[in-house]
Amino acid sequence: MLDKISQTKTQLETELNSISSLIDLDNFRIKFLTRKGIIAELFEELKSISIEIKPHIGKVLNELRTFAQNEFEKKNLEFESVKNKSQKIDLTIPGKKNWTGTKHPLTQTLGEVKRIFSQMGFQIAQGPEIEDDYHNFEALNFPPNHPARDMQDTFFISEKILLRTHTSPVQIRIMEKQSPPIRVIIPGRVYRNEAISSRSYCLFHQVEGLYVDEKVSFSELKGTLVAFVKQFYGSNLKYKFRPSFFPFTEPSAEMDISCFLCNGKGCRVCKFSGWLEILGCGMVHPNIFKNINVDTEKYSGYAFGMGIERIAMLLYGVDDIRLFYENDVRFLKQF
Amino acid sequence: MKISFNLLKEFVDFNLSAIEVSKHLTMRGIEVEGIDNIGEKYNNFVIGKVLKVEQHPNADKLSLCEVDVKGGVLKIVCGAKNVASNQFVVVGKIGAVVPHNQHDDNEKPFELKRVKIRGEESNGMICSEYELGIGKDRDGILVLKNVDEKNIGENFSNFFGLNDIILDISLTPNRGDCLSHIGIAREIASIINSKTKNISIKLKEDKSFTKDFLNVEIKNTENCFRYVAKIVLDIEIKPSPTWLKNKVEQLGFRSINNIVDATNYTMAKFGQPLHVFDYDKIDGKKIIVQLAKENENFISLDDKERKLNSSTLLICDAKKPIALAGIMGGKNSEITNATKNIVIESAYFFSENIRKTSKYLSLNSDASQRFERGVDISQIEFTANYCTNLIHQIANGKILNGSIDIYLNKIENKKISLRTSYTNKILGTNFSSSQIQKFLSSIAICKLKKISNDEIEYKIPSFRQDIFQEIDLVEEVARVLGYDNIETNFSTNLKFPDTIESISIDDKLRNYLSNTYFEIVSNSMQEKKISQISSEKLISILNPINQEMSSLRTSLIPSMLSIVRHNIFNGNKNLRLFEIGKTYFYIENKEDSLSLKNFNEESHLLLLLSGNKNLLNW
Repeated sequence: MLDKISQTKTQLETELNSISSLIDLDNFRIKFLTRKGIIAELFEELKSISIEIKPHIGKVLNELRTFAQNEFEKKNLEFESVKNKSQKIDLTIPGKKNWTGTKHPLTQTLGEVKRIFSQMGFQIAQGPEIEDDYHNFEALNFPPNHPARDMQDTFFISEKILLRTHTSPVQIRIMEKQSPPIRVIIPGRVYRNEAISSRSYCLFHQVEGLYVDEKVSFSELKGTLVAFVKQFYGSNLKYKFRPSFFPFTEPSAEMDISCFLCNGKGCRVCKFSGWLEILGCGMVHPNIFKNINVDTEKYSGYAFGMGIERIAMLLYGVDDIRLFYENDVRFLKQF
Repeated sequence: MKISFNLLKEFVDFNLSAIEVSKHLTMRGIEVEGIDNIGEKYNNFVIGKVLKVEQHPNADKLSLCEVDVKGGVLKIVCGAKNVASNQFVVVGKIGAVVPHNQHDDNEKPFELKRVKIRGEESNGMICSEYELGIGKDRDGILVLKNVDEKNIGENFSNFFGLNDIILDISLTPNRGDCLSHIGIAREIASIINSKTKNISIKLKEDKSFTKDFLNVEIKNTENCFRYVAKIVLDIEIKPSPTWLKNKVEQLGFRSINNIVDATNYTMAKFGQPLHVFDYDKIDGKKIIVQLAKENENFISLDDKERKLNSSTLLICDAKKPIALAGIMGGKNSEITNATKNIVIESAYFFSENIRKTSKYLSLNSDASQRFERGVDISQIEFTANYCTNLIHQIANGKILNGSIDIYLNKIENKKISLRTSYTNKILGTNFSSSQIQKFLSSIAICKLKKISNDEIEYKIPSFRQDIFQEIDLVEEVARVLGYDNIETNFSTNLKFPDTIESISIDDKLRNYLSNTYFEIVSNSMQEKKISQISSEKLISILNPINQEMSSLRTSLIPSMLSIVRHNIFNGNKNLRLFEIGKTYFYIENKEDSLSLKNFNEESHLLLLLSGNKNLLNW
């Protein structure tokens, strides 16, 4: 029986070597590996073998079968791969779709603001969101018991620590560290304790600008901001500056541009006034310079600030501020 | 704040339209947010005389009326029981829009059309007080008194002060002086190069002296600079005359009775809050201005019990507190329908004290709003007299002789000098000293003396409490000149830097990641128990909007996950998102637990992938 097995193995090996086509391989399979093939016949014979040597012979026979099967698989794979290579590429199968993404619309809007001011020579600075009362209010000329504090509803962490309500405290932080000339813009996240609605969210982003040097004037402030809005919104728009009040600037102004949605004719967005309020600005109040020991006779400065959400809403026609924080990809995709 | 066009004209003559006035005021920093032409609403409502009333042939409850409206007699079907011939009534003609439809559940305005009612033609409507939107009476038509034949055909809005335009003004907190008609009128006078009119009051006073009826003592002079009291005896408390009721309501006050309405009307005109006490409820006939005791209880006019602190300024009588100075009166001294004799208070309370108390008690009023911003100390007695006179006109009574006026430390007008060179440096202008003087004198800031060729000292009027220093005058110059008249200068002193700011690491990451990932921006406030998942060192917010936002995030993951959930629920299953944001931690520092050093902000990047690895394209 063992002899028979080893003969079969030799025969099998020879035949394996001579396989040169898929037909040969199939013949090989039929001859050895089918239910009526040679190996199956040997297993049939095994049944009549005496019980003492049966396990030993069975083992050898099993090895043969495994060997034959493995060799068959190997050969089969070889043929498969050859077959694939020889086939033509199907050009009609669609390609894989690429992942795409975008920057958040607020980042994009801020990026454009940063780009324009960078070109004008403004550096970019940042400061902490968790602030103390001194930097957020007092140093900015908001006296402790002054109605101006009502302009900005504040989240408190402790009596004197709060979430900054504007990026203006960074003005103080910069001037504490650096002496004039200073020309920076300060982007950042700010917080207001206001009811959440389509028009206001509990936090938003601001960009603050500060320029302190000798002979800085209101006239130059107007020039800088007009240059900015013309680059940002287009050179055809009309603009106006009207008096306003911020404790840390004087004279203070609000800048309006002609509504670019209705060309100043009046629409829902501009509340039928033809004008859009886009930023607040003014000359740095001398009290601020005094608070940080900047010589008010030698230096003057201007500051301005704008809300990124507001700009993005106007620019892209987004009518609900909460959409920016919902981050639905169907929304994000549009930018 | 609401400003009446008609009242402005009592202070200054001008020929500008409401739109022109709004534009000018806005360019002066007094933003007009709305214009409500009330008169326009009553365009087709005229005074008519009922000539004849007959029973409607097909309806028991209706009458057929003939009403003379000058230029024609209108046949009108009327359902009111009180209609009768020879009455003077308000007729809504065809095309008139009736403010309230009292036969409709929603009471919406409706336009009058020529209609047939049960077969009879009706060419208009005789209106009730309620339908006209001027009162509550809806049971019958409004029958006019004090009207005669010559008024027939006249526009209804000419009566009751309804022919007016109301401006809605949003004021910046510095301009307390403009919380009044006189303040706005001063700006208009300056705009048109004119002056406000002088208003003088001549009181018909009784022989008895005010000082024999009341004694006033200011114990806390730091917070009460001046206190004026007038007394009127034997008044009649009743509803205000229609003109006054309409005017205070147009100005945004609730009409209460003739006395309260008179004080609100005076305040709206002059900016001085006034308070009226029931004289007979004042114990000891004495008023004492003093601080409260810590934790003292007080029931204010609005029926709320309030716990005071030791810096609350009180108006007291010999036994008890009777008002929260400058904020709200007390229940115990309130005027009621039974009140006969009154004390009118006009005072100056220190702005910071009023604000502190108003914050402490979370109690704002029209009075506290004005005291916080500073009232005109020179006009305290005048406004008391003005109000007294008005009360005398509409509530009768006897005005006692003279007033109590405690004004211990006279407050002098501020004197501030301004340099021409400084003005021009800040504004980038080139004005002469005389030009600057002219600008300032138009808003009552007048030259006192010349200090040098460059510097002039000015006297600041007492109503301008927002002007403290030189820069404030510079702003006034710019405001009067008009910001648009300051040259827009595109040149700058500063050299451009050699290198343009290099791009930050955050932005580099954003540029790279946004090729294949969507950037998200999420709320940095979240629920405490969520912040606790990643750190115990979370920072809590003392006054959060709600519990979902009661702490600062300690990880970007939770907010990202909720955004992922939102997207998946909305069918966006395959996601690649990133966020660059801050996380916030409290660092224990025993030495100085309140310092900013205890708070740390870290920048983090979070990437998220969800759904299928490959996107199918078909």
